[in-house]
Amino acid sequence: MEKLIELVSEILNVDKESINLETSRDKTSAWDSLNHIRLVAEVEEQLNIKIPFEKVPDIKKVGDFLDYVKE
Amino acid sequence: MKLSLLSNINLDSLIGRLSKLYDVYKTEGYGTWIQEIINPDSGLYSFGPEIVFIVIDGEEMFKGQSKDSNTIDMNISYIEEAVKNNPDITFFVSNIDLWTRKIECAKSGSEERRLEFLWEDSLFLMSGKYRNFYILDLKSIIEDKGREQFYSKKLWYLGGIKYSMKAEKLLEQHINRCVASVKGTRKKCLVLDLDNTLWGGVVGEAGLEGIELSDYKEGARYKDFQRKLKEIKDLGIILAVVSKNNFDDAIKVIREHKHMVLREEDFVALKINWDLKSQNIRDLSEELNIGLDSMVFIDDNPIERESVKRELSEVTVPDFPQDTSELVDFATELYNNYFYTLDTTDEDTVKTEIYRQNIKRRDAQKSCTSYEAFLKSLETKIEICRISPENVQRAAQLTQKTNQFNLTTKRYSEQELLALIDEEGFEGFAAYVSDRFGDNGMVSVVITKHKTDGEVELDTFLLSCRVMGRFIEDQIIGFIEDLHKKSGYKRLITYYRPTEKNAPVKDLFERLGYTLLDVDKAGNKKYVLDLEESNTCFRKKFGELRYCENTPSGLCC
Repeated sequence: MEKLIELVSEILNVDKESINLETSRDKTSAWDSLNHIRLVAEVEEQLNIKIPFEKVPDIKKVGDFLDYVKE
Repeated sequence: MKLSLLSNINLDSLIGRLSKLYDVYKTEGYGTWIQEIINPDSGLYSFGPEIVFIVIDGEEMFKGQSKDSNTIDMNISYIEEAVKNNPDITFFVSNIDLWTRKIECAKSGSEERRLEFLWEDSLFLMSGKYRNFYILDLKSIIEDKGREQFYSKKLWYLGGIKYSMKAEKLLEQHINRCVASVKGTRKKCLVLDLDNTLWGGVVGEAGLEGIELSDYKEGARYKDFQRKLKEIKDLGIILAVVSKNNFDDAIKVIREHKHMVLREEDFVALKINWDLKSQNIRDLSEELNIGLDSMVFIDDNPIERESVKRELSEVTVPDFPQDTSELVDFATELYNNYFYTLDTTDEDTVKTEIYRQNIKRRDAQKSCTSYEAFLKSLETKIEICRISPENVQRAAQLTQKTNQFNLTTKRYSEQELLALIDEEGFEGFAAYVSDRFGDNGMVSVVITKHKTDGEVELDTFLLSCRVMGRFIEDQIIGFIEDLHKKSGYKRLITYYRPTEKNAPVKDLFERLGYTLLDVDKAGNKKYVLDLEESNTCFRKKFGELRYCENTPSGLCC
C-alpha cells in the first residue's frame, strides 16, 4: 500500500502526505485523463498486476487499485 | 538547460518527466515535428533550445507513405536541412524500430529490416558530416528491454501512448546521459582495486596461478570485465590502481599473467601498498592534478568503500555487484552513468600516456636540485597557432573542461567558438606544449577582443592543469602582448572572474606586472598593461616559443 501511495504521488507530482486511499479523481486536479492512464500503466508495471481494459474508467479513487492487488 | 523533445508520436508523458529537470519546449500536438525544425520562425527556434531530441517512430513515419527509400530520403532531407541551418543546436535523432507482426510467407523476407538499416545508414552519414548531430540509439534501448516490455498496447489503446512507463524511464535516463555529455560533466578517472575486482581471489594467498582470470568459465567474469574497462579507457578515461597488496605479488600478475587485459601501461598510476586507500586516492588526485570530484572508485570490499566515502565525500563510490556474473553489465553501467562520451578527440586516445609522462616529470623534479633547474631540464617547446576548423574541437573542449587556470571561465561549444573567431574583432590562439618526456598536445586557449584602435582585451585565457606551475603562461601572455603591440595597440585589458575553482590564478596578473584597475564586491578584477612602457623582465622563461602563422606545422596538426 505504501508503494501504491508512492507511485500516485510520483505520477501526480503531489506530496505523499496529502494522498490516502480516499484520494479521488474528481477532487484531485493533477489527476487528469493523461495522468489517469499513466497511473494505471505505472501501477500495473510496478505492482505486477493487470487491470482489464474495460475496468480502467471505473477506477475513481486510490483505494480502487487495491481490488486488483488483493485478487 | 533548454531542450526540446520532438516526435511523430505522443510523448507528452515523457516531456512532463523531463520538465522537472530542464526547461523543455512544449509543442502543440505531436505531428508537427517537421514544421518545427524546418520553419526558421517556428516556436521551437524562438524558444531557443540548446539541444533538440527527435524521437521517430518507424511505424508512424511510414503510415500512408510508400514503404521504401523515398520516404526515408524525404524525412532525412528535412532533418539535414535543420541540422545544417542551426549549427548552434545539438541534434539527437533516433534510429527506428519496425515491429512487424504481418503474416506473410518466408520467401518475402523482412522489408522492415532493410528500412531500419536504410534509416540508420542515412543517420550515420550525417553524424560523420555534422559536428552538431548525433544518433539517439533508441533501437538498442528497445532491443535490450525487449519489445514486449518496451511498447504498451494498453497505453496505446487508452491514450495513444506507445511506450510503456518502463520504456519512458529508460529513454529519460538516456536523454539525461546525452545532456550531461553535451555539458561536459563526465568524470575523468576510474580508480580500481585488484583482488576480487580485476581478478578473482587474493593473489597474496592464491599466487599468480591461483587467481581466477581466464578465457572461459569462472575466470572469464574478470577477463570480460577488464575488456570493458579497456574500452572505457580507450575513450579517454584514465585508469588507476589503488590496492592493499604486496607490490611484488600484484605487479607480477599485471606484468606476467597471460590473461590480464589491462597491463602496466594502461594505468596512469599503480598505488599498491598498505596505506589507507583514501590517502592513496588523495595523493593520486594531487599527482594527476585532477579534482576528487572527477574520480570514481571501484572496490569489492564494502568496508573500503565506506571508508573512502567517509574520508573523501567528493569521490563517487558505486556499489559493487553482489553477483560477479554481472560484472560486464556493471562496467556498462559505470560508463553510462559517469563516463558517457559523445565523441573523442585524438588527445583522448593518448590521455593515459600524457598523464604517465607527467608522473615521470614529477619524479625527475625530485632528483633536480632546484625547481628552476628542473624546469630548464625539461626542454619545453611551445608552439602557438590560430584556432581553425581543424583544431577547434579540442579548443572548445578545453574551454568546457578547464576550471583551475581559467581567468574568465567562458564555456564555448565548437560552433560558438568557430562563429566567434569568424567575427570581426575576435582572434583565437591555441598553444601546444611538448618536452623531453613527450607531447602534451594543445594546452592553452587565448581569445582576444578588439575594443578600440588602442585597446584590446582578453576574452579567454586558460591553461590545462597538466602544465600548470611551469610558467608557460608567462611566455604565452608575452607572445600575445608582442603580437598586439606590433599591430599598434597601446593597452591590453584583462580580467579575473572568480569561480569555485579558479583561486590558483587569483593573483596571476599581479604577478605578471599588470596594474589593477578595479575590483567589485564579487571579486571580479580588471587589469591593464601598457604595451609600450611595461617592464616585464621579471617574467620567467624556460621554453622555446614558436609561432606558426596560417599553416600550422609539426605539433599543431
